[in-house]
Amino acid sequence: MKGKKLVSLSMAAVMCAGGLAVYGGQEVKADDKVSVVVATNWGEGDSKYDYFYPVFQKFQEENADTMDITLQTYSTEDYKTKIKTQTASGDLPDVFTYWGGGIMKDMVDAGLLLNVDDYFADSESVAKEDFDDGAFDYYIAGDGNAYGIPIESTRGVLLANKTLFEQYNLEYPTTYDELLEVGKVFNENGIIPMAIGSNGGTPSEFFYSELYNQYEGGADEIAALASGGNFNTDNAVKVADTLLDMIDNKLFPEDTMANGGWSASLQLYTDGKAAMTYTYPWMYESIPDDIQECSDIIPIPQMPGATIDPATIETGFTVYGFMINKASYEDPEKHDAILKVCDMLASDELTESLTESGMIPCKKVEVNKDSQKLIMQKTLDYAADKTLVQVHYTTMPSAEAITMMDSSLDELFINALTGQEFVDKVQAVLDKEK
Amino acid sequence: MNKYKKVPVCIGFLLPVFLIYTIFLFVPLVQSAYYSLTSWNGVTEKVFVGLDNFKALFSNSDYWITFWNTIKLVVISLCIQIPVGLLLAYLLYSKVKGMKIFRTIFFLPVVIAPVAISLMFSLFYNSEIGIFNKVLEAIGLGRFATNWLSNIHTLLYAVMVPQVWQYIGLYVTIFLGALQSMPEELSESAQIDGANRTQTFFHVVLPEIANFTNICVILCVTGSLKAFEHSWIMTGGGPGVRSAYLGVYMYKTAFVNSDFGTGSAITVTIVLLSLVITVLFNTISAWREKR
Amino acid sequence: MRFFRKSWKYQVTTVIKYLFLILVAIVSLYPFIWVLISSFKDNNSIFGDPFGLPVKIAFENYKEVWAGADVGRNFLNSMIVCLTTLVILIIITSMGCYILTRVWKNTFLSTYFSLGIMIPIHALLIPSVLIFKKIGLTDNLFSLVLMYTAINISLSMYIMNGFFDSIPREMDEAATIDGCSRSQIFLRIIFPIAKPGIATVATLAFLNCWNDLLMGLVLISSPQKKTLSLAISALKGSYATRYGLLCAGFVISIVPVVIMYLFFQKQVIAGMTAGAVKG
Repeated sequence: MKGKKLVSLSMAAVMCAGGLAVYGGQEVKADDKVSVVVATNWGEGDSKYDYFYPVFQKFQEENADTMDITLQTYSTEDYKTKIKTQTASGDLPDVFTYWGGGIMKDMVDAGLLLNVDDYFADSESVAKEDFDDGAFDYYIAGDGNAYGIPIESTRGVLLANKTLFEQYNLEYPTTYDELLEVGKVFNENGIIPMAIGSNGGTPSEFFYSELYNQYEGGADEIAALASGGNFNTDNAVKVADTLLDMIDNKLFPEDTMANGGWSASLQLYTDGKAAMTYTYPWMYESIPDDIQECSDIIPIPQMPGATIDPATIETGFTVYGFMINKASYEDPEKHDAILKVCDMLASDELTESLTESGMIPCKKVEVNKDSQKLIMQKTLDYAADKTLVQVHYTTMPSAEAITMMDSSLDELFINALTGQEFVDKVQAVLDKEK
Repeated sequence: MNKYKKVPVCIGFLLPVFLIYTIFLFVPLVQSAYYSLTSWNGVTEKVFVGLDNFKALFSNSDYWITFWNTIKLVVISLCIQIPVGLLLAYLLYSKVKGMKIFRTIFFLPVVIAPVAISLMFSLFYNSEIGIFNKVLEAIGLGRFATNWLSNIHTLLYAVMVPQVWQYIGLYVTIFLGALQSMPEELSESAQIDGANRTQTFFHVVLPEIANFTNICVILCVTGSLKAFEHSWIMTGGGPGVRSAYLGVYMYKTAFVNSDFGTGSAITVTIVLLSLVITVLFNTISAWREKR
Repeated sequence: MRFFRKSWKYQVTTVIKYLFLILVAIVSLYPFIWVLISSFKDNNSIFGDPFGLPVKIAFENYKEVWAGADVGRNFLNSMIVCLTTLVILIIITSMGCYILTRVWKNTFLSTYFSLGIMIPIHALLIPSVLIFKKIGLTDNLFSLVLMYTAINISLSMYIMNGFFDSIPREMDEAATIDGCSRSQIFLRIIFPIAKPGIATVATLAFLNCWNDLLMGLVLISSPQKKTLSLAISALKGSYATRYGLLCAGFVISIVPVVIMYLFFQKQVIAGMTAGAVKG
C-alpha cells in the first residue's frame, strides 16, 4: 500500500517539474518578427528608468508588428555580472549600455563590438557630428576606432554651503592655506570641512584626478595613461601626499569608509554637518531644495605647488553609452531592426528626456535650463567657461588597475599607505599587464 | 537479507540524487578546476598555462591577507556561533514559556537579506551619525569609541560582527531540532539519578547530540570559508583587501577584474581548504568516538 | 525538574534566564523592525536619523515597488520555483540518505556528496550557464529548479544524515521481521520519524532558494521570468540607491518566508509527537 505512496509522490514531482518546464519555457514567437535583446543598467530603482522606459515603451509598441524586443534591466552591480556571463557563454545582447576604457578592452580585442562608424554610415537620423567633441574618447580603443555611442557626460563639482560660510564669517578658500584656515574654524565648531570619504574609491577617485589636473603636465599625463600605462609620476605622488596632508589636517570626515560612497558622502553635506562636498550631477536628485538654494559651486582651492588655475578647469567626461553587438548587426535578418533600436537610443527625443533626470548629455541637444533643478542650472552656468579635463577612471587601460586604484585610495584615506606606496600598488598592476 | 536483493533498491534510491548532483554541481566544479589551469578573461579563448595561476597566487601578498582573514573568520565563527547557538537552544529546550515565539524571533535575522543587515551596521558604526560609539559612551566605555570601519585594527572585526551574529539563529534551529528528537527519558532519568543540570548537559545531552554538533561545526567552517556578502556590501573587501575573505577576493578577481583563470584557482584553494578541514575534523571526531 | 521548583535559587535562575532570552530576542528582532521602519522612509531620513521613527507613515515606497516592477509575477515565479525545488529535493535526498545511513554505508559517496557545501556559488555561475545552454534549457525556470536542487543537496544530506542516524536501527530490523520491504520501511518508519530533520532541511533550503540572487541573475533573462530577489535587486540605483524602496522590497520578500517558517514549525511539533507515539 505505502509503496504506492512513493510512486505517486515521485509522479507528482515529475508532473510538477514538467508543468514548470512548460510554464517557464513558454515563448510567444511569431516567425516574421525579429527578436532583439536590449540590455541596460537603468533598473527600476535608477533615476533614469522613469525617463527611459516611456520612450522605450512607445518605440516597442510602434514596432510591435515587426520586432520582438526584450528589455533586460538590472542594477549596475548585477548588470556587470550578467554581461560577463553572457559574454562567456556567447549570449551577448544585441544592443547594451556599457562602460568604455579599460572595462571594454577585452570585448574589443575579441571582436565582439561594432565599430560605431559602421553604424553612423548606415543611420539616417544620427551622425557622429551630433555629439560633443571628445565625447567618443572614452570609447576609443587602442586601434583608434570608437566602439560605443556615448550617452551621458558629467561634471565634477565642489559644493559649498553659503549659509555655513556666512555663519562663521568665512570666505570661500582659493588656496591651500586658506582651505586649512577655513578647515580649522569649521572643525572648532564641530562641522566637517569637506564631506569626502572613500569607499570603493568613491568619490575620492575623481577628487584625486581633479587635484591631479592642477599640476603642470597633469592633464597630458592622464591622457597618456591609456597608451603608456605609466601611473608612477611625480605628480601622482605629490597629489597622494597632499591628500594625506588634508587628512592629517582633518579636512575630511574621520570615518572615511562609513562616510564613503556617493550617498553617504553627500548626506553629511545635505544634513548641514559638512560645509563642502565633492559630488556629481547624478546625485542631484538627493539634494533637498533648501540645500540647492544655499549651495554655491566653487573652484577647488589651488594645491601647494600647483600651477594651473583651478578656476579655469573642471573634470568633464563621458560616463557611459551603449554598444552594438557586431555579430548581430552584421546578421542580415537583424540588421535593420538593430539599426532602428540604435536610432531610438541615440535619438534627440530620448536624450532630451534623459536630461530631465539630471543627466548631462553627450549629444548636442538643447537642454531646457528652466526645467532643470536649481543646482543643475548652477552647474551648467559654472561649467560654461571651463576647460574640461579627464579623470584617471576613463583613461586607465585595464579594469584591474581601476579596481586597484579604488581600493588603494580607500587605504590611503585611512592612513594605511604612504603616497608612494599607493602609487606603486597601482603601477604594479599596470606593469603586470604590459 | 540477501545481499543481491539490496542492489536494485540502492541504485533506485541513490540514482536521482546522484545524477542531479553530479551533472549540475560536480561537473561545473570540474570545469571550474579546469579554468584554474588556463588564462582566461571570459571573452577570448582560454590559454592553457598549467599551474602558473597558482604560482602567481601563492606569491601574491593580497592572497595571503585574504587567506588569513578567512581563517580568522572561521575561528571566530566557531568560537561564537556554535556555543551561543547551543546555549540558546538548550535554554529554549528547558521548558521555556513561549518557546515557539522565541525560536521564531531568534531565527528572524537569518531570513533578512545581508544587504539590509550590512547597511544597518554601516550606519551603526558610522562615527558621525551612528549610535555605536554613543552607546559605548553611555555605558562608560567611551575610550573604546573609534572609527570602526576606518581603523586598520578594528575594520576586519567590525565587518565580521554582522555576519557572525546574523547566522546564530541557524544553529539554534538545528540544535533545537536535535534536542527535541532526543528521547526525553534520557535527561529525566539522569536527573532522577541526582545529576544537576550542568552535569546532565555535559554528560548526557552533549554526547547524545554529538552528531549534530559535528554538522554545525562543518556548516560553520564551510560557511565561513565561502563568506562573501557582508564584506562585499559594507566595504567591498577594502580598504585594499583588508576586510576581504577568499570568497570576496575570488569574486573581485573573476568578475570585477575579468581574470577567470586566477579566480577559479582561488575557488580550488577554497574547496581544498574546506576538504582538508572537513576530513581532519571527521577523523578527529571518529577517533574520539572510538575511545 | 520538579525537584528544583520550590527553591529560591531556581526562581532567580529562571528570572535571569528569561531576562537573557528576552534580551537576545530584542537584539534579534531589531533588524527586522529597522528594515520595516526604513521601508517608510526616504534616504534623507535613513541617513540623517537612521534609528529614529519615520516622520509620517507613508506607503509611497510600497506603492512604487508594486507599480514599478511586476512584483506579483516575480513573487509567483519565486514561489513556484522554490516549492518545486523543495519537493524534488526532499524526496531525492531523503531516499539517498536512507541508503547511505542504513543500507549501504559508503564513505567515498558521503564525502562526494559533502563537496557541494564547500563550493562558493560564484564559481558555478559560468559553468552552469554553459551546461544549461548545452542541454537547451536557457532562460527557463526549470533550470533554476535543477540548479537550486543541486546546490542544496549537500547541505540537506548532511543535516538529514544526523537525523536518520539517530533513529534506532532495531526499528528497521523489527520491521524487516514483520515482512516490510525496503521502500516500506523508508516510507512507514524512517520518513515520519525524521520529520523534524526534514522540516529543518526544508526551511534552510527554502531560504537559500528564496534569497538567491546570482543563479537567477545568470540563468534567467526574460523580465517576466525574473524571481522576486532579482526584481528587488533591480531597485538599486547605479549611483544612489533609494534604501527606503529597497527595504520595502525586503519586507515584501521576508513576510512569506516567516509564514513558511511558522508553518514548518508546526510540522516539527507534529512530527515529534508522531515519533513519540510510535517509539
